[in-house]
Amino acid sequence: MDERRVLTTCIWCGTGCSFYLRVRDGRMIGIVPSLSHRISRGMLCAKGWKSYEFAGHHERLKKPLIREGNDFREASWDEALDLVSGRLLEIKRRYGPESIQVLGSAKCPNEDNYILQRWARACIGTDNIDHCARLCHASTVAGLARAFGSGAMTQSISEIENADLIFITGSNTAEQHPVIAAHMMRAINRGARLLVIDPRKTPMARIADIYLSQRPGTDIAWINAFINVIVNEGLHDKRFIEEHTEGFSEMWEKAKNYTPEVAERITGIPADRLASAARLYARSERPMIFYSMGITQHITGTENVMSLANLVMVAGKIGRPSTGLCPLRGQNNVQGSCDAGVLPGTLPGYQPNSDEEILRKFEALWGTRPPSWKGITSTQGPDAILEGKIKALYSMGENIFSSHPDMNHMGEALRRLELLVVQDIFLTETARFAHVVFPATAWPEKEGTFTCTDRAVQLIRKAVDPPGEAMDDWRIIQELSNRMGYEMDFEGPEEIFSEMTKAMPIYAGMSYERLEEGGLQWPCPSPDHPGTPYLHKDGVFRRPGGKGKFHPTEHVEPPELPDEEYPFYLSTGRVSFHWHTRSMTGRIGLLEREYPVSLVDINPEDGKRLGIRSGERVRITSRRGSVECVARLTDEVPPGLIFATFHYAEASANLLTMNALDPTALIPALKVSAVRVEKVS
Amino acid sequence: MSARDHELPEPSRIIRIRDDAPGIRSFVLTFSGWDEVKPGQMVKLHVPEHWEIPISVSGVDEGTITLTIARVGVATTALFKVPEGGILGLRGPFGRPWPVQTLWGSRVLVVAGGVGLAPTRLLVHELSGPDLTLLYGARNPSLLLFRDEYEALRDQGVDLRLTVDSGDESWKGNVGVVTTLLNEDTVSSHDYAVVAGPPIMMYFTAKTLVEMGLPADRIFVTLENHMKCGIGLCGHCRIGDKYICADGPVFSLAEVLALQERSAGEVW
Amino acid sequence: MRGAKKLSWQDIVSALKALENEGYEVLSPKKNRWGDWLPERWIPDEAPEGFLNYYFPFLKEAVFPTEEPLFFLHGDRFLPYDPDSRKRAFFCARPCDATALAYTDHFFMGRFFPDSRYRARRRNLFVIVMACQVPCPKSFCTAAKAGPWARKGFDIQIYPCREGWLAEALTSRGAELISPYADADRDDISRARRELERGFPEEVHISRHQVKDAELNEWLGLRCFRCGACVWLCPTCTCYNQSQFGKDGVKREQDPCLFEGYHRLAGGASLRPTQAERMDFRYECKFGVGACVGCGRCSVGCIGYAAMEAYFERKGSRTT
Repeated sequence: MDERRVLTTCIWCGTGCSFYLRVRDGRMIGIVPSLSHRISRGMLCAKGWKSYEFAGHHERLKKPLIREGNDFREASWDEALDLVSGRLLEIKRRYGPESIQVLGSAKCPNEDNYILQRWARACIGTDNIDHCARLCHASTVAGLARAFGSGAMTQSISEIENADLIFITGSNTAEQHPVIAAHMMRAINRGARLLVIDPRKTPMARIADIYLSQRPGTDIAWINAFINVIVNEGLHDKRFIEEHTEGFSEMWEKAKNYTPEVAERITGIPADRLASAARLYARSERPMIFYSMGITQHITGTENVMSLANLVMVAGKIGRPSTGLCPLRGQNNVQGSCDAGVLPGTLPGYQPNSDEEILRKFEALWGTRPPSWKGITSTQGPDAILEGKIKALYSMGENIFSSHPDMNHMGEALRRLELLVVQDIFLTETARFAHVVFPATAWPEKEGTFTCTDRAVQLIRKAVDPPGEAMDDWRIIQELSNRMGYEMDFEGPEEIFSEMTKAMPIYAGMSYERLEEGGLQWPCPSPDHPGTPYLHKDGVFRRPGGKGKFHPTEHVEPPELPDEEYPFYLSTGRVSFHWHTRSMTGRIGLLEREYPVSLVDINPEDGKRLGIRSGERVRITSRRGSVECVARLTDEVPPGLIFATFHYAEASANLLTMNALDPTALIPALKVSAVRVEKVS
Repeated sequence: MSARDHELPEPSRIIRIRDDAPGIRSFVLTFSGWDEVKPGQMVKLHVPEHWEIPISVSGVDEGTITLTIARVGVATTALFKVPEGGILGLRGPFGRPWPVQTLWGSRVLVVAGGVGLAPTRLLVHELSGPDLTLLYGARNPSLLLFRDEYEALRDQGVDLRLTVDSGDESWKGNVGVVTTLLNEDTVSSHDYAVVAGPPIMMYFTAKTLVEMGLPADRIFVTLENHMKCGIGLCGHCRIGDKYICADGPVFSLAEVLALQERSAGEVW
Repeated sequence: MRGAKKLSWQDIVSALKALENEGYEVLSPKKNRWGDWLPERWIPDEAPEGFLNYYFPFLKEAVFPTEEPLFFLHGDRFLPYDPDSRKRAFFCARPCDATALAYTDHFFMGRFFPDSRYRARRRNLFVIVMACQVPCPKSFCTAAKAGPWARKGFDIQIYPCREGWLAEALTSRGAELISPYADADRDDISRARRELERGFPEEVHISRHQVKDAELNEWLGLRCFRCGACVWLCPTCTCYNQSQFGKDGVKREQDPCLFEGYHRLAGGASLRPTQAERMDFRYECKFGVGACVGCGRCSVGCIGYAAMEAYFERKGSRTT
């Protein structure tokens, strides 16, 4: 036909759906889902169906921009690249490589991220490299690495339909991972039970067999209570615990105190219902636990994750299909960006830069020894900038001003930088602070790989040409690197991927040729290895020694609780139609229409008490800032809790949230803060 | 329909802009189809760098039409930024007009609320005379439209009565919703009624008239619900098997009640 | 129906070649390396084995695309975008899609204002239906009278049968194309139809007058996760929204009625503010004017459980 169909992987969430972009006369005109694809099977969410529309928007960046006063002027690539490379070298010479921070992009393919962190470590010499996983699943990476030896979803999405219990906590799956929710619906139609534990009555909660609502930030208490019930009633898998785990008794020292009654006092979940749910989990043959930001975005995020890991090991529900623990990764390639080492202290393939052998291996590969000190995280960035420790920030593909907590604080920090370079596809709120902006290619204009939440590495394919002079992300980095004296001469993403397979044992057996046929799930250690659908098979964990580790955990109250002055809990998140800061979905007509203004969800009882009706403007205030939103009365939120999104920068929940960090994972507690609500007359 | 294109707009220049009330503005626009417009019909107006919106025609003159528009959304907000002399786009006219043939020569009661005077204005001028009663209400005095025409209508014998929901110091007239202007004689002294205004106003007015004994097939309303394409294709104005933009927007109350039976969700 | 003909595979090939000579791009189902069927330029040596139907409604797309630029402001004139009415012939179109085409023909050309773009493309679309031997997953085309053979919407319909193929024409250009071939009996065609129907279970009862069922709408509404797939995949869905295209243009794109924004009025109020009301709107349409053909695509694409399969299951019957 006179149209081309280019098979690619979706740009939005970590589910990893696949579809064909229809291209006619160099323009994308539509989408055909792939019926044969293992994960998406012909299904897509609304964002997927409309995904390509933003790429052709007339506001795409087409030329490099250099700041002139309060405005930007267009510049040539040579001028802009020379300027940036020169300034970076200068700053490195004056203040040292530790004064430079580089942020990668979970929206960009693995190849772009790999070359970015190589440039940061080998050319600049800094380990201050991080990306937005810090905001979402840093607790997963830290927690599961400690518990299981591997911080990724233990199962495959294709196993979901065979589960007999779908257990969701802290994930609004129907709106955030819709096609994964579709697999859950299949399981439910085949008889699986649905258990949801979440402060909000999400769409899945509304159709659940058991729905429990807990006070925000109290997850350790109810998870320990689950363990308490399971062990006390002899429902735990004694053989599994003995043969495949260590540290049970230290964990039990704490968990034994969390009776359902104690948990009820802390969480608000009725003791008897909690106990029933625990029994249901232990007695199910193939229960799968799914979780997301509701578990990770707390100051106890890492411990929340480790508590879930404890629960899974106590019941012995891991190491075989349709069981396990499933963190649902948010971004299309946040798994891949983590795999590729865009994390401080972590070289590609989760190899720590504190290990001498690893350092030597990379020295051989890169021609330079990477730094062996541990850099700071993106969440520590704003304070470090304000303290004068960070002078330059290079940001690829993330709108950090709008996506990080405490926007005012971040804005202050960005203004303080001596050099801010932003590499992106639109002039985002963050780009407006930059000294130099590089126009990059968007997803349908690139080749590369994404790694989705069930560890499958999948190809993306180029469908159309980029607008103007927009350049591939990896090529921009290579150009900079060469101008800064560190030679890299990759011909394209395939060559970069090839180096990745040499650097990262979990990707070692992969190649573009193999990926042409379909995705491969890591670990894939050799060219004839078929990939790994589920981890820790038969209870052999990826930790040294092969045993899973229990960690004792204790409930800790969140850092800011409702009080007289700020009487409401604030929880934050997204809606299904918009992606994060809306730089892309705000430019897709039908999606923007579905959520055109910033809404705040308020329980009808609270609404009545405050004299607020749906559609009225309200002011939400916290200790950090204040926003005006439109109220939506819904029973999705319980009384005493309100829910706001960060999609609209001018009315973003991030003007209210606090940068309180989990001490291990350094992830912010975006799910709990205290606010007050007032009607705007 | 003439040979003019019902799909492609023709460029239309804004001859004059008149601010009728806070947030309500009349645009006098050039239009080659001016002599085909019947009372109650609408045109599709293209707003530059946006899309087309359906608006009923409130005035017709040689070579021009007048559209009286309230600023309520994205497109109308952008429209209000276009100055006199600016170029817009027009196509039409579309829709089923008021049944002038039926109403002509009978005693007609027109009840209009707020911007509802705009789709009825051409009809009011057509029927102007001693057989016409016009009851018109707005939220407050500043929102009463076409005030400079009231005297001429009265001179022609129209029984014109005004009311506002809330008055101000200078307001000497009736205060109350427009249904307060209806009385026991209203139905016996009129053969037909025409109602136009916000949905809730039309609903209550029509209900009151029916309760007073006026048959549903002698009451006419204009359902300007949610029309988008104006030509009965895009589906947004569909209720049951009727399309508001093409089967209407003028309907008899009897037809509306039948639609209500068949519909999912609101009709009003 | 005009005539009945007996065709060999060679006859079919020569007919398709004749279409090519008349300037038609002949499209035929081809399975790609990843197992998905897509319409590709027809190659004479292949008969599509194992083809059920295109997952995406390509036949409708050829006359009413998902997204289409309409016109743009050029200086002081409005100019239309070219509707792209190239001559295309679909070989192995399915009865459900052809039936849907007959419906969209009436919708776009037989009502208030004929759509000139649809009409231009429709004139140049030649449809050759291959009646079906195997039902598609989750389909109920027999109950919708849209399968396993088409009653309308095609130029030629071909029936696979034991001795090869039978063909009939609905249009004069269809009749002309198959005129050179051997005659068959109308009874042969009737027999072929009954033979095919044996492979299609009839478990669904469609009533064109659905009683409002608030509980069902509520149940389905809770399980609709608002992806829009049922609309984008449906061969009879025609609702669209007009929006800005580029800086100075206007386009139309298919608009799912399951979305809240579809029903929202300019000032912010909504005609159907709940998902239950929107489900009611959709089903009232599909079983009424909207003419569901029972192809099953909506049920395959639905990410929740609120499409036709769910509807019928709640009503006590079962699709394929």
